[in-house]
Amino acid sequence: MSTLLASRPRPISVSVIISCLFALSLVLGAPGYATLAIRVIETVTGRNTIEAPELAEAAGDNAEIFVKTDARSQGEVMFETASLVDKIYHLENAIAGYFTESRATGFFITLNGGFQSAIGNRLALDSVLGEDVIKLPNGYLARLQNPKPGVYESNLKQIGELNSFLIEKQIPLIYTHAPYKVEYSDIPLPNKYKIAIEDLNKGLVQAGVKVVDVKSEMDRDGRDFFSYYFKTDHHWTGESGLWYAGMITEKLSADYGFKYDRALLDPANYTYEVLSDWFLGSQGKRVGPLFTGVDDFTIIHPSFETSLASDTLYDSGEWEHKSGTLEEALYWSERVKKKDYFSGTPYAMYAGGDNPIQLIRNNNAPNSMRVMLIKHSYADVAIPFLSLAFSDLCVLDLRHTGRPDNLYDYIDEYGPDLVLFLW
Amino acid sequence: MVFSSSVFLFLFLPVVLLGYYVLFRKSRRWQNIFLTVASLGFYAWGEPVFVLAMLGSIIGNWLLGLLLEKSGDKARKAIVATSVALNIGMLFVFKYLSFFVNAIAGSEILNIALPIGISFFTFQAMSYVLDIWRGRGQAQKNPLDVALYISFFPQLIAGPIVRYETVAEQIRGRMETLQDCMDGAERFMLGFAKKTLMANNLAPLAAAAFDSGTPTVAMAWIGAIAYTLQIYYDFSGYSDMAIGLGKMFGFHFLENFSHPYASRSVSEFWRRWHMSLGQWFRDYVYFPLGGSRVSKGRLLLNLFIVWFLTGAWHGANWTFFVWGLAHFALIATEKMTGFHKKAGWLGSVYTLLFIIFAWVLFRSSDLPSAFSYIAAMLGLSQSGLASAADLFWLQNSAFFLIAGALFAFPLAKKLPRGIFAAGLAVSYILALSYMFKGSYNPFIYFNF
Repeated sequence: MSTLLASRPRPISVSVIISCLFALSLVLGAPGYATLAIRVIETVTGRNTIEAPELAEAAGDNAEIFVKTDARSQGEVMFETASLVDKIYHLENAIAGYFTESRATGFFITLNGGFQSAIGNRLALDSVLGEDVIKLPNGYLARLQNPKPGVYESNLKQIGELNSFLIEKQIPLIYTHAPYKVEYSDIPLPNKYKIAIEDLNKGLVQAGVKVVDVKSEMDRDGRDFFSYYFKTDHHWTGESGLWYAGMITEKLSADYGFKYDRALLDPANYTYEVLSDWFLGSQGKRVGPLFTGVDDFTIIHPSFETSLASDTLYDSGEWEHKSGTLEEALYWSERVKKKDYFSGTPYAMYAGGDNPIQLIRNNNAPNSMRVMLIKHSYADVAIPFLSLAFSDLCVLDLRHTGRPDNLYDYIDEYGPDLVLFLW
Repeated sequence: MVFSSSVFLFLFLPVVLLGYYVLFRKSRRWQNIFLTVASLGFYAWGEPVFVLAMLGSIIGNWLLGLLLEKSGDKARKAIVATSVALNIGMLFVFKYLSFFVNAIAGSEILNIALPIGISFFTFQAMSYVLDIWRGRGQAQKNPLDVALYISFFPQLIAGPIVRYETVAEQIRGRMETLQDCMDGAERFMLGFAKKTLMANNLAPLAAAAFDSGTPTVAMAWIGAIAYTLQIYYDFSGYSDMAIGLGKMFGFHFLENFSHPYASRSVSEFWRRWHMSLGQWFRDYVYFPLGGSRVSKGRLLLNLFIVWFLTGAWHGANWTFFVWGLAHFALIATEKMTGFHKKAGWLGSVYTLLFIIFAWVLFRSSDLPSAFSYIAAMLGLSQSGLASAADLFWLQNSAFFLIAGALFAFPLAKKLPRGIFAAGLAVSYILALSYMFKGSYNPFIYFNF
């Protein structure tokens, strides 16, 4: 029989206080029990599956463009084909998520970032592959990803094949790739993090694909390279989205001879609503606000009349129709209503973030151009402004569309005048 | 499942503590059954297939233990020999067969997966039968009690290697006290902080040096020192957690570390590092061979056998064999000449330097990599003295290098109780912050 209580405890002492701290730490995960219980019931009853969150790694910046094989999420597909040992390992990570994504998480991540900053750490390693965070000398955070071998070769090949397909149909393809912050900082990066967008661009040019070198255009613009980006996030700011839309439309207009009104994408014709200290980006969320601070978030309003309609297909399979001004049709304002560093995603205010398909019609179109944009998340801030320059914009996010081999069907069905990549 | 994971801390441990102290509090028998089932579940969580190998080991050794107790002298030797052969045989198949077959074939034709912690639980299983044979413990009638001894989750995967004689009485007759629970909690927190705060933050620095292929002289030394500290905090942290968890359930395991880097000789280092392994080899190999009360030649042979086996125990790789033999060479020299006794503080320097170089062998994937790394440390490679990248890594890890080096020595023991406890509380909270953040978190000794 247990005699735990048979012995007389010592008076209140340091040991008691330390033990209480330990006992308290054991119940920190308690809020996760309810969520876990619900998910287990859902799984047992077949209403859902427990997905391994870190398997989403392959969908990062360095992922293959044509990567999906069916309509299920990548995590689900990889989970189903994993070995029993891997399944348990991923299941543990998934379950761990329920305990570490509680209210205490924000507190501990903030504490951790503050501690790491105080002791001079600049590299915050992460358990999730491809989510290591580095603080650059200028305080900007960058994501350190370790590109999978063969990704660039695969992308090169498949974009080349798409280009050949489009040449046959006499549809121009223009490829642009957002540069990564970390590429252009002078920190001595470990070799494993080497990223080679420039190599990909060169390879595509050799393969006959029209490439617009975004970094060169940024240099020509004259602004500090890092000012295009959020400090705590790898993405462009709203202002950079507007800049990209103006830059690429100007180039496309010159090369393919369609007309557009430059005033539509002139930054001077917009007003800027700045939400101070509003945004903690993807890298910031992993290290907390004390590691390098937080970002302002700017909502950009056109000073001229706009009229658009958008239809957005969500991952759930449901479509949402929105229409009205640019803000009404393409801004998801609820994303910025509340300041929430760890759960909020203000970035998704622009165009609703990453969704499989978005069809946009500009009722005040300056031309009759139908453009298909194949995009990564960098393009989200550019979509609203690009939509002002054309009659119709079809936005495809191949990470979400289901079957990438259907891209050819989408092109046939939509009949674009040109296809633009922003990866 | 690792002790420093949220699943263990927030789910497994609270559930097991509740079951043990609430649900089954009235029956030792049911408490033991509950702990056994939880332990098997703990192992199966990471090794759903190899748990069968462990169950086989448990049943086999339980039967041999019963047979041993009931047999006459002649049969006893045969039973012990059978037990050793079966245990070593299982270890050989999983741990060494691929190595030897591939070495003979010259290419990789066999790849048998290594069950986590097989070296630890196999040695415990052997200890069970050997201690019954030596009269240091009685055979357990109930196989579940043997299962609890071999598979008890605190020490199952990475030790300490608990010899049966030290816990035989505790399986049925232990006494839990509130003070032990509190001490156990404190010990667990210390281990958790050592592992999560120190070892995990030193690991990237060591990896940056060892994985770079061609480190500069500075980076090679920084990496080797970082690994020296990492492996100490990793392994001793695990042992602290294991000892602490054991105490929470009324078990008292022997210590496994005693500030080994403060040793003044390599022999002393091995009396303070992974003490349970040293004691295992001492009791079951070295003493039966005659120990040190033999001729010089025989002593050398005895030491060679023990260190060859110690190297081999760590893995099937030439690096471990050479690592073991290097220890044999130094310890044999110390025993024969006694030079370390006259060396004073120089003994500490010599010991530390040797240990650092030895860990390079231990950390390297193969012998050419190890020798190339040692050449870099000695300035014999073409990588230069230092680079800007070295400075980046050094700045990034300076805090943990300095704190790690300080606390590897018995500094904390000299602190007043209140200051130590406050430091422990802060360290534990910071360690929790790393767990919540989700950072790099492997255990080195799971591989053995």
